[in-house]
Amino acid sequence: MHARRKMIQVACLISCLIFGSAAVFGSSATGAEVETSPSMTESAESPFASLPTTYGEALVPVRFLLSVNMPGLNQEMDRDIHCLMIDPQGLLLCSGAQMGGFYSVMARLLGRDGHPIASRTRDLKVEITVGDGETEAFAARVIARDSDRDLAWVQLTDVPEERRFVSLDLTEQAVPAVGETVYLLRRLGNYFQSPAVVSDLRIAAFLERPRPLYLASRPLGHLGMPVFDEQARLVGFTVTQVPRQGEGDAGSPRGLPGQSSPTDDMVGSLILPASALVKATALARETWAADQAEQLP
Amino acid sequence: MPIDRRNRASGLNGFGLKGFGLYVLGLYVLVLGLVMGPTVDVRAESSRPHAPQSELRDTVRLARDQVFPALVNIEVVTARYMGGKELKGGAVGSGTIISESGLVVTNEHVTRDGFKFLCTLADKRQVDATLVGEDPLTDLAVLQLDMEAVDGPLPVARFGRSADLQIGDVIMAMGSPFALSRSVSLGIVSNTERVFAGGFGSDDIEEMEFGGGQRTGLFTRWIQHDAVISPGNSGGPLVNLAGEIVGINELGGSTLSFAIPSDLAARVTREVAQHGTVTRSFWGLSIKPIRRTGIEEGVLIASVDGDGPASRAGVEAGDVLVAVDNEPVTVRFVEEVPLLLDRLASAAPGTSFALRLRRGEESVEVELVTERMEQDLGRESSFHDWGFTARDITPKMARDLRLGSTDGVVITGVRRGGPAQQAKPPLERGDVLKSVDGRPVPDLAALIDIFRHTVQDLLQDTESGGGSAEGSVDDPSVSSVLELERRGTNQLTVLEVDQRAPEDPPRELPKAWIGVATQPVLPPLSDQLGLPDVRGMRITRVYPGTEAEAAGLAVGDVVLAVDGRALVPSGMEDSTLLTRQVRDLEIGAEVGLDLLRDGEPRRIALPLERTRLSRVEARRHTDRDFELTVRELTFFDRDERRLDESVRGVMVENVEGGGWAGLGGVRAGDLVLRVEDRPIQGLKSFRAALADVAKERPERVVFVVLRGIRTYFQFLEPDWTPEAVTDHDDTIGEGS
Repeated sequence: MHARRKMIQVACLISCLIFGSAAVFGSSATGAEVETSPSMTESAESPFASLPTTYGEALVPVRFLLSVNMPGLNQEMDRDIHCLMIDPQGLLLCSGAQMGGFYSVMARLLGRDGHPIASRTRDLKVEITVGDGETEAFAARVIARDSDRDLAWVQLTDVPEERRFVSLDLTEQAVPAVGETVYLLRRLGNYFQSPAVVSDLRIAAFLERPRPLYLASRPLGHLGMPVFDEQARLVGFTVTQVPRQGEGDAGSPRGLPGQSSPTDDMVGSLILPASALVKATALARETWAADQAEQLP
Repeated sequence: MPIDRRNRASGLNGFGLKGFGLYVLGLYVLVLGLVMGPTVDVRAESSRPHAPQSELRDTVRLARDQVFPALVNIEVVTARYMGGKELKGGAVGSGTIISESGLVVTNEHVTRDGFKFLCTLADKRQVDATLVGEDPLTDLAVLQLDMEAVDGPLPVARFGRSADLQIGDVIMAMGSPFALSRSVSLGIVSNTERVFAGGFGSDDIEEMEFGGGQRTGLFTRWIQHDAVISPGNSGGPLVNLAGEIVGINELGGSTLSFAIPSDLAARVTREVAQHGTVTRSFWGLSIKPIRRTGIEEGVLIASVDGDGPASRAGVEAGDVLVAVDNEPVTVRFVEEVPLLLDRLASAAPGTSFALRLRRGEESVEVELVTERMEQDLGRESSFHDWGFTARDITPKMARDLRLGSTDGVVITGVRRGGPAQQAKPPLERGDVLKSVDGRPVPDLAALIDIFRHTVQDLLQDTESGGGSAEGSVDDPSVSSVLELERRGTNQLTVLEVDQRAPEDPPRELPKAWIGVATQPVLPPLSDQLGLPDVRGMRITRVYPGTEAEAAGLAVGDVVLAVDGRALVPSGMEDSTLLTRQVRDLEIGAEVGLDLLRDGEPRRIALPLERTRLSRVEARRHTDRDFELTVRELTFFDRDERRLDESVRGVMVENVEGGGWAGLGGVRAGDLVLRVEDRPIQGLKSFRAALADVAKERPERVVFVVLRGIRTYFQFLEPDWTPEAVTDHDDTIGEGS
């Protein structure tokens, strides 16, 4: 009986989706003409239209295997995320939390108790669109990260010297005002063929601690994505800001004794200002160079 | 007269411990009387209270000495398969030397999944053994001692006749309970024809399983006795007072113990010793006693396997078998079932039998030609680099799984996150693998061969620096197309093996740091410190060798401000306020700390230094042979464990369950100081030491580890055998 009821519910859901869609799209159909997709009503200058066109290609898919070791769990898993190309020679800026499969966030929250949790990446592949539906895959590796700012940098490692990629210049920045409308550029999932799309939101507040941040007016739902102003200047990058053990709100209803717990604001509504990105990226390059020098025989 | 259960219960309750003790003592006296027969005058006991005890002791000793010297303790290293991977483990059981050539009889459930066997003889000699064969249907196995390692003649025990046993006979159970050294317990035979059925009131004895779908007990009527046996006694002998093996102990608990009768054990052992297995006939039917059926003679055919010998002969479920080759057959009770099954199975495969059946009112004559009875379960193996385990398909499995044939291997498990799970579509438990890269897979042996050629050879080429484009140093990966049969569909999937190790964690961007640990100063602590209006951060530790130490910061100092910027904690969530306040400042910049020391204000200037390497970003190494992950020793590890700079080693971060390191007693959190005679300075020397060990392949590898305040000497005993299929004997290194 239970299975039967569940099947009926699923059937209803599918019916609602089908008929609901028909109702939406059917209203624009006239006579024999049947429109199968909504038409673009925004002007080409609108950020909704211009940002995907201008910077959509800079949001590239990164596939990798995440190797997770923690008590009771030792396994590898596929990960598929999008990162932002910030250098035409193949440097990507990614969400640190996503690169660590959120296990790094868990380890941070758990503090000392989280030490047995380790996540490492393997077999990174970046797929660049080179033509109509065609892609070219490049190997890559994570060169540095900044857990405080929730950033990770990925460098394509087998790029021909003359090859240049569509990228976003971090120095083309803007500082928004509180209340200003800004635009989040992101990609939908593979189920939708990963189109680049824009969502608008407003800057709700400036935060000073734990570091300068913008608070979005609503949950963003996408990490590691750029946010622009009306003139397509970079405002910032969506991040998490998760407290370390002992730094969380003592009275948090979600808090576990002795541990920190994230709130919605910490994981879904924060934008790291573009100025911080420039500085951190420069430091990431230095760190990578030093790391390579250290590993030389 | 019906039994009054309530009265009986109250009688027992009133019996008490003292009464129970007397009851047991009386029983032994009675038993002694039974054993010694008319020579013992029970009435004389009171005048010679120690004499019967002494005689019993002498009798027991005599019997003991016939078998005890031949008793062996068996340690088994096992490889079991779970979740698509191999889990190594250990088992301990007992056995008896039954021939001067070094044959040892034990239980199959002791040797099951074992691949290394070590026998400890009565004189404490330890001798390796090999498996001669197993018979899961009777739970018996035979080991062969390595006679080259045996110096001098072996003590041997002999089988007696279990058919002569009677209820009440005194017996001894010998073995190694709880893996302790050898011991003997005494009891009596409680039942000579105990059988186990599928459930309460069930007559289906052949449904009994020992786990994993392996039936057992079809041909066994166990000797139930009350000599105490415990885990570790399995496979040990049940001995009569004549010093003969009358059973092989198999099951037990409390005062209910069960042994395989020696008549069956001797026959099975002989055949296994000669042929490595027991050849039996398969009839393709099951039987049920006729009690509760209203039938007077014969045995009920409870089920008939489709396309089995019985089915082909025209036998139908519900028929009553009344004669085999004109010899009448009747099975009224479940205890009689094993006898008939044993009789039917004992014929040579291919034997023709004339069966007389009753079908309703009709009498039917059919001719049945038996087949060879195959094992219930096929051999299983782990294919680590593919990330699955697979099993040969036996005729029984083919029938149970409704497969058309025994061709192929059945996938028994898929490792989480392994290549098989990442294949598109992923492999699933229960899939039947039919071919790899177009090469048919008729059985497990063929798959092992293909695996070696497609994966291991190429990846070994990779290690040696050779190989083609695929499987080369630059691309240590191999792809294979697998053909699967899944619920009636034929599916293809591509399985990619990539030997590249996970990258080391990337370095964190350096942050500024002051080498102290702190706590917030809040009320009521501030009041207690005599600083009621003060808010700040109290230094709880000054890390050695840091700029903070050099600048003279001390435990107890209360830091009020950094470069004039006040530190005002609002709660315990600000326990890292000082750290947070300086993290984003310039490394190397000098800052001034305003602080209180013993209530007096002070200002101390010091340069900000770079954060030390954290555990999260420490470099790691995963070793596939020993199945453990280690990482660099960090500054904070040293500080936490109070290790000075002279202590070198690598931290064990993770130990795989069922891996060699885990079995050898290495634990997460251990600091590896030495491998064999090689001191471990860090990851580089650890890698080098393990590489040397892998080349030398010693029987034992010594890991010296620091755990807490103690240094431990751990033996790891990896299996270096060159059969490079399973996890434990995988010869592939890390690839890149």
